[in-house]
Amino acid sequence: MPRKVCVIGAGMTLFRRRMLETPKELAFEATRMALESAGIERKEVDTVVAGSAPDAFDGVHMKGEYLLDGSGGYARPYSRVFVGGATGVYTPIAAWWHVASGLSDVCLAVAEEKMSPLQPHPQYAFWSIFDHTIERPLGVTLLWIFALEMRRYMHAYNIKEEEIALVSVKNKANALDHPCAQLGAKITVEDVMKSEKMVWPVKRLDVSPTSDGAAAVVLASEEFAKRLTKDPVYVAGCGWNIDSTYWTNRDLSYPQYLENAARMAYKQAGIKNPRKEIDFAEVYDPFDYKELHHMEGLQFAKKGEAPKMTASGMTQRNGEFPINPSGGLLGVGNPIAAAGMMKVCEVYFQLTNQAGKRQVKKEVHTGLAQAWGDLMQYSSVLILRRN
Amino acid sequence: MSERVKFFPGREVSAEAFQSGSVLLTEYSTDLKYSWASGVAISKFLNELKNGKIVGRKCNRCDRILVPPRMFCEECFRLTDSWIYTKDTGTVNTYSIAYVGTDASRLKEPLYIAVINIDGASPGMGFLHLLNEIKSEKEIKVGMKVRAVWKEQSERTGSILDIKYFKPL
Amino acid sequence: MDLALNEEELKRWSDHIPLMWKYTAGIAGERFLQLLKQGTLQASVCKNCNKLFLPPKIFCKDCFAQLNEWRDVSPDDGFIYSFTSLTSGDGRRTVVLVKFDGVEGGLLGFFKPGREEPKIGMKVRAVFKPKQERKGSLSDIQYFEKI
Ligand SMILES: [Zn+2]
Ligand SMILES: [Zn+2]
Repeated sequence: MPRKVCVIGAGMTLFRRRMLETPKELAFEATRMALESAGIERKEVDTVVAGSAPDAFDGVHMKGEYLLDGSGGYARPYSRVFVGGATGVYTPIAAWWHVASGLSDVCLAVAEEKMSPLQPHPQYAFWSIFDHTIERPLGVTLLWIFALEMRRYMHAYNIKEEEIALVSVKNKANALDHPCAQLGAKITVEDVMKSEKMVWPVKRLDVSPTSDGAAAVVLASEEFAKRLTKDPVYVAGCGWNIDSTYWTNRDLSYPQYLENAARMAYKQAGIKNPRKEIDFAEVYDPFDYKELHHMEGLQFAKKGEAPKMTASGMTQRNGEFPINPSGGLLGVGNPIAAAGMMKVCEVYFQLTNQAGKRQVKKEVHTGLAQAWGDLMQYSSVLILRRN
Repeated sequence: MSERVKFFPGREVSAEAFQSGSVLLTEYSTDLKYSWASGVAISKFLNELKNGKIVGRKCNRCDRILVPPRMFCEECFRLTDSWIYTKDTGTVNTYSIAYVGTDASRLKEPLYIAVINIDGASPGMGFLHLLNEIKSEKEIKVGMKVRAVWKEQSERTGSILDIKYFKPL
Repeated sequence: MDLALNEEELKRWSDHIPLMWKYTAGIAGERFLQLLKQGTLQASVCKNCNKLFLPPKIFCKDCFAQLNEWRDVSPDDGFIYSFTSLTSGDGRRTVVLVKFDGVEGGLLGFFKPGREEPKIGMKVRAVFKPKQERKGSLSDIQYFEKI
């Protein structure tokens, strides 16, 4: 049986298109804040896990090595994990092993991304993740694969672009209350529909921005956490799963791999009915349709029914089942690995009543964070609970 | 926000400061050159494209015909068994219209792109390619039947671009 | 694999990945390099650990404190920690790693060309380029010379 593991602190930097800090400095600022929020010092940290997406963004090879001092990893058992966009939620999962196994009492999980160095646009780095022989010669870009998946999802369940746009409207509005947010805004469905066509059906306002930022959480054994608080936040469950690398052979309308990851986490957390037993969720939303796709994979809605749930207002911050009260990637920003970690931070802030203006109205005990990545086929799921 | 920490750290650099260089910047560029071995399955696939044919691999355990071909079945985790020629027609699994290029700059002409499930392969087996000879954007539909338009034989090099594009059947 | 194709049937695909970056110097780097441009060397200070860092950092890797205090380091107080020679298009150049007494870290630079041979432990001073040629870069130090 794994040991019980708690989250005892969280921190993050501002998310912005361009930051002055070096990647190391960003990692330091988020990690320092996480330690201060936990009320502990680095000398009490046993192990450190860093997470960061492709090296090409920051423009430093071996980013794990590069980030180690800023992540508090100096002279500690330290490693970097990388599962593309899913890294941000996978990093605390890796930290969970460190504590659950009994290997360490305190483990830091740090995620950083600085996308602004890459010129002329960070999107460029994504081109080289496609197959060099049978895909890149066609001129493929990352947006293609999203647009193709979005189109297939719309086709499978007869979903309209306007229904999807509601997600962007909600999340950007939620982000107005997040002090770190890059793109909080009051917009309408019409604004989304009229925004610049990028790779149809993907339009400018369907997409999260590219960003610089870092975020971190501190995980500790129950025994350690109980020295700091009577009422700690527990890691109730975690799961991860991946689909085939042959993306053109996948079912693009439904993320089965996410269902697998979610079921793994639900089993550990003893959750039978996720929609009833989870109070709110931070689901991965680099594009607005992804929030819907992921709500279905997480079993919050039946296949094709997440748009209805969204239209009903249920997923608003003050609704019955808040989704992305932080403002998500669409509103807060998307420094890849740090964006996933931001979601874990938000679940922690909400469960400990530290979300300020973003605090959801209803009382919350169980929250879920999820991220998605690699070549659109990886999902990581983390469930936190406070009694 | 934390009870102990009252502000979020970070210092933004404005687009103007970044462009004007009022903040110190170090610039580097590189051009990485690669030559990738195609492996057995993709070599055969490319050689057959040069012949104007599409080839897949069959796995005798799950009975699937896999396109793009691979020497192992990821489902059964065993070597695949034989080459199978498919048709050069297929069905649009999904499509979209690209207005921006790899560096996020605007394209002069939009590009029609699709995942095409290949006839003669197992359901759901297909690859990424372009669509053309489209009269109107409204004409493109998921489920539309399409056919490969090949380059002249003398122009083919053993490349995914030996198929110029797929067009409505 | 018994299905291996013969050699002329095996293909290769060649392509290239051009990449371009613009890096900021960071919080510590921006200040450090602006001071260098003025002809001043400064290290950041960790009061907990009683350490100075050069190049300066905004954090102490040991106690993880945020470092807000900076202190002058005299450009004349360096010594050669290690050195190596490289021969490139423009001739032979000697690269030195220069440390400063009581300071953690050090600066990479060139040894003054000429007859003098570098030695480990040799006392050196940083010689700055003329003010108008400085750009806010490590290369604002033209070379290190024997004192
Ligand atoms: Zn099989
Ligand atoms: Zn210190």
